[in-house]
Amino acid sequence: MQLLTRKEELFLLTVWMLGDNAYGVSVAEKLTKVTGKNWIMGQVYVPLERLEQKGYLTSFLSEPVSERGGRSKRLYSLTESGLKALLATRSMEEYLWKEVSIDSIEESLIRKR
Amino acid sequence: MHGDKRHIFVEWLIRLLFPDTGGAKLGDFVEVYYQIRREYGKLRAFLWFLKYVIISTPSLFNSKIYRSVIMLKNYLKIALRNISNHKVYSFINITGLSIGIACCILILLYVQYELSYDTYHEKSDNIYRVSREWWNSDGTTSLHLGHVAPSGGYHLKETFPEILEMVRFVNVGGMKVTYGDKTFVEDGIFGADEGTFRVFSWKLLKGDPETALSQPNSGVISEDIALKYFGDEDPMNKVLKCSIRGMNFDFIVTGIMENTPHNSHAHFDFFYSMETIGNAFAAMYGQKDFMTRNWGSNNWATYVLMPEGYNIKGLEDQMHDFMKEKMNNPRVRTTLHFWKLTDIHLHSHLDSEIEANSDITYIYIFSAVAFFILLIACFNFMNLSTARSSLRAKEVGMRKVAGAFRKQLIAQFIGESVLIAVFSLILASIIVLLVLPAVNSFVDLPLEYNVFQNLTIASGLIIIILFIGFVSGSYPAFFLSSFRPVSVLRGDRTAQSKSSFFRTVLVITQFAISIILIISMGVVGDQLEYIRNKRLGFIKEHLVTFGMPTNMSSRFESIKTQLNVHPDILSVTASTRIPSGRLLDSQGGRIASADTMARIQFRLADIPCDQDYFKTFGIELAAGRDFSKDFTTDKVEAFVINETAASRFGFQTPSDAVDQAIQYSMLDRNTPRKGTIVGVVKDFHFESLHQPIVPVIFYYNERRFRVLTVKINSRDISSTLEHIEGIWNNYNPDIPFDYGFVDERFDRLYNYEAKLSQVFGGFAALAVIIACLGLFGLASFTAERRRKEIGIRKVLGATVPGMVSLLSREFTVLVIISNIIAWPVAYYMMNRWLQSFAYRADLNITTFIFSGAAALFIALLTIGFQAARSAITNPVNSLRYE
Repeated sequence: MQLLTRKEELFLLTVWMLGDNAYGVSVAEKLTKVTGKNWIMGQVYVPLERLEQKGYLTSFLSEPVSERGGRSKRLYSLTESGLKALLATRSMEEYLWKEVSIDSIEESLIRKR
Repeated sequence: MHGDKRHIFVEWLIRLLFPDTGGAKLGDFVEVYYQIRREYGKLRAFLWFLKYVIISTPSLFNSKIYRSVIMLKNYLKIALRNISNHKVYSFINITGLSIGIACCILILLYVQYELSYDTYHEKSDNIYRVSREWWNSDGTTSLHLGHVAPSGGYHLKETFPEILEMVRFVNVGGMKVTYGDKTFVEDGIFGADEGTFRVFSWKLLKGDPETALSQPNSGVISEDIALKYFGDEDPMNKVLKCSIRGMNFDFIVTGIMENTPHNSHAHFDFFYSMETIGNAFAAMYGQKDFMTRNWGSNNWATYVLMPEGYNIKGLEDQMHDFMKEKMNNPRVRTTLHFWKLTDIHLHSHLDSEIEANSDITYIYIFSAVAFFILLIACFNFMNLSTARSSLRAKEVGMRKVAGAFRKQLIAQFIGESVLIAVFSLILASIIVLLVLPAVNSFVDLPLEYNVFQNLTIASGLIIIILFIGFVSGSYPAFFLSSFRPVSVLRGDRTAQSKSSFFRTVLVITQFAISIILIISMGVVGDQLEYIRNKRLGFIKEHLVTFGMPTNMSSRFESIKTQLNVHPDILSVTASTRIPSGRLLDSQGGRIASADTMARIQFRLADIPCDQDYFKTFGIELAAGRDFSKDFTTDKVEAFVINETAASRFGFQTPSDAVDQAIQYSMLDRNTPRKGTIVGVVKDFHFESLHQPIVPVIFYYNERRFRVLTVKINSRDISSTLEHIEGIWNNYNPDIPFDYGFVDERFDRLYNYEAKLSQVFGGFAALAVIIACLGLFGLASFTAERRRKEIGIRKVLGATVPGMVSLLSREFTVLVIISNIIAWPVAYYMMNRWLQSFAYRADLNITTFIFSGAAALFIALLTIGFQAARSAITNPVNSLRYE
């Protein structure tokens, strides 16, 4: 099982959260809200397409929407391997953090100063 | 956006930037656009969109270009590895190409400079020089001068209103110019019409171009002359004292002119206003209306300014009638011609020019030679890369298997050759910068190599690079890219034989070009040798010659006596012209025919000279006698002609001409001189060997003597010269003694040929070097490929000489074939070149054989070195590793 990068994880989770309405505009908006950094649409297309190529995402074109000038949305959703990859990444992180106490990290940070 | 015509472009832009099936991305944009439009209005929405496109473009292009950059990096890496892995081949390629490019750059600079002559004048396209032609009764041209008489220009301007301006320049001759304690003799003073600066774009640094030449006793001097007389002083309105032939003039400086640019067909630095000069000439010739009536003093360089787009041919067609009318004689055999100002430098070789001009054939010859040298270098590249194709065949196979298109492979190989060309260009630029000073002193031009300021050169270089890239890269590119991966990777070598035929053709061409150049060098050399050794009919050695100012020529008898005192001075003669000069003067005359005196029907050039002329020059008599002091009447009625004149008169033998009555017009008298032919001299080459020997007549006329020639003994020349200079200084203390030797003057007539021979020599050497470099590469490649064969042959008992001959046989045959091709071509070309001489050396078969043998020898030396090296190798080394 391939582990996800932080960016891939971020995108997959965003798409998951958006449910049935994950497409260019909504993903960019959600990401802006979550990260506090301005995401524009041009920045989300390439990662979404890459994830689709890797098989973590799948997409289909919706019915034409009139407020979009009669154009479809490309709606993304997670595939089985996408979901599995999320779970695997999550469990690995949990395992790692279980062994490490946050106090010890903070202590060492103070000593470094 | 939707349904809005104004946004078609916008939609197109989005589709371009964000390609997508089904238009979903475009839909995203439209959605956001409408959202913003609802909230903030149309303008904000549009601004958002603009901003959006701008900020997202770079990242998009990045990801698009990324892949092609990776590929480019790979190509570059492979190319650089190829260069550094095969140092010998790369060296051969780059050296050959850089020599070729350096030749091209130098010639490009030369050609560009030659073509730039006189183009700096704003009106250069509409300025024409007037020339004057005379012809014989049989219609052949007898004389064509680049100058016309003063009235020519005057009447042109008066008769044809379409002539906007007419300007004449006339050389005043050696004028003594004094300012304060500085005195110089200026040879370059020209009378100039007041319109000069309206026609020509020479800039005045000081003074008004409109009026600078309009006042009498004034004029314009160049910066150089200003510095020479005035140093730091301001020359404006200062007065120079001038004197010539006993006349004195004031010269008020009314303008300072920029020095005439080097790329001008004539250089002026001293303009005298025409009014004063015209009056002076009128006084000298005793002709009041000299400027409007004189047709005989053809020393006036005349220029006319025509309106834009004027048809000059139409005007030229009227000139014969014009001359008939103005000279008031319906039978005149003379007309005027017009030369475009910018054509003078390369196309005009008339019997008189202000300065010697260059020749367009130089440009053709040099350009052709440079092109061929570059071609030879390109052939090296093609040969070596196809020869080594088997080494790269695997790479091509792998690339194809990995999915490369043929197009990509072709681009890769052409790109590689362009890369090599760029390396060579850098090296070539260094070579050019190093040799440019030497080249400049050779061609006597101030050429500069500056790519950044010279757009023509810069674009020329780009063309050269692309030319090399495509010519030398194309064959390998198409050849290599045609390999079929299956056969290449399996190890077939079927492709080899096809390419080796092509290589053979290229090698033959290379050597044929080299041999042609060597032969050309040889033939030019032969002709020069012929010229130098040809019996000229007089003795050109040990003759000192100098021009006499008027104060000397009027007393030349006593000067001769003083000179003859010196024991090492054998003979002295005064005349108008001397051999090595031109025969430009001629008057009309009559010759006894039956009982009447018939008009002479051909141009009979005249040389007024004293009694010692033939003795001094060692010219032999064919019949009759020399001029003699014993006959007092010789000074007024004796004529001597040359053999050609005698035969043109129709005399069977020279002695038939002796004692015949003849009349010949005198330039300085109204009536012709009546006398007899007392002698006939053997033909001798008065002019250069380009010219045939023409009829000449000699007679005594001390009023026209201008040159003194002294035959000296070869013993202690410097003290003899001191003696002559001492006498000169008695008469002209202010003027430096300026003398020449006749044999040197003769050599100077062949400067062009001497230079041509050097140029061919240099280029032939370069061509041979480059061709041999290529041959060396091919030979070493063959030797490498046949290592095992050589090893086995040696094991079986082959000898070293046998091996060497086996390895060099193939190339020897090629060079011999090149010879067979080169000889007829060279024969044709050089035969045509020799036609330009009236007297020429025969095309010598030994020159051809020698040139061919030389090329063969050098080629064999190149191959033999490689062959011997591989033949000597111990077979153990070449066979062991298996």
